[in-house]
Amino acid sequence: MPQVSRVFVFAAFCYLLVYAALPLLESVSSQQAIQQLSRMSTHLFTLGFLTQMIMAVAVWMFPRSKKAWSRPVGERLAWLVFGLLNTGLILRHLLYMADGGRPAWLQTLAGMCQFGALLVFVVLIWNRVQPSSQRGR
Amino acid sequence: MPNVSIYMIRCSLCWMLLGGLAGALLHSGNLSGLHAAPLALHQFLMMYGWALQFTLAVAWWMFPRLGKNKRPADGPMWAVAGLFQLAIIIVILNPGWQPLGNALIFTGCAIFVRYMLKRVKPRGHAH
Repeated sequence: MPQVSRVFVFAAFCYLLVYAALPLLESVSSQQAIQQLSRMSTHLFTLGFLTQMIMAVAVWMFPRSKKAWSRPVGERLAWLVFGLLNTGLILRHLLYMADGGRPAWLQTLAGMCQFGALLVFVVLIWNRVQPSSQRGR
Repeated sequence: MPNVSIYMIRCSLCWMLLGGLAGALLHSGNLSGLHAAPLALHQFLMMYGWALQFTLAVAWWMFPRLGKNKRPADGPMWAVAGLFQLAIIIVILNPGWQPLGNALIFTGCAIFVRYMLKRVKPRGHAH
């Protein structure tokens, strides 16, 4: 398994633990930040855990073809996906926890980081979705 | 990778982009806040169009084959693929038809389970 996939899986497990811990924290703590985070925690599971696990497995297991990016470029793109996705997710959840007003530009930035990650992932993986007989490198 | 898996994975990537764009616009407040219809569409695209469809397609590709390395016929999976795309297009065209979309997704899942069960077996087990 390439290093970037291992890091994806490690991050996915972290999000899973945070997601699973939130109901516990909510029941023992009355802190508003925890309550707000818990109400908006769906993305911790769907993007943080589920999507990152899918991305890790796709980067690792999908067949490499002649049309696909070379291995070094593919790895750089995968790291870019990882960086954008996690920056967007963490920023988004920090904004949820913030007590005061949430700057609109920061919310837009968080959304664009996550969408950018999905876009780069599609660019990275599209040519690796192909019949096994067309395998190259 | 069978053609039906290629088709479903590529569709799931397209729906993921559309669902992700709707989510980003919702989050930045450009789609009338957390308005019910765009939010439901975002959830439908990301859960069924992206995550579920991608998972089923990869499972169809990677699960053990039938006896003597024989690939199963892809016909039932093409039906699943058609039902999924139909459900998603219906919900995009009219979010009020989501119950019909849910029924189509359920039918697709039932077909998938029916034909996949016989491929859930130990390594090297002849069918």
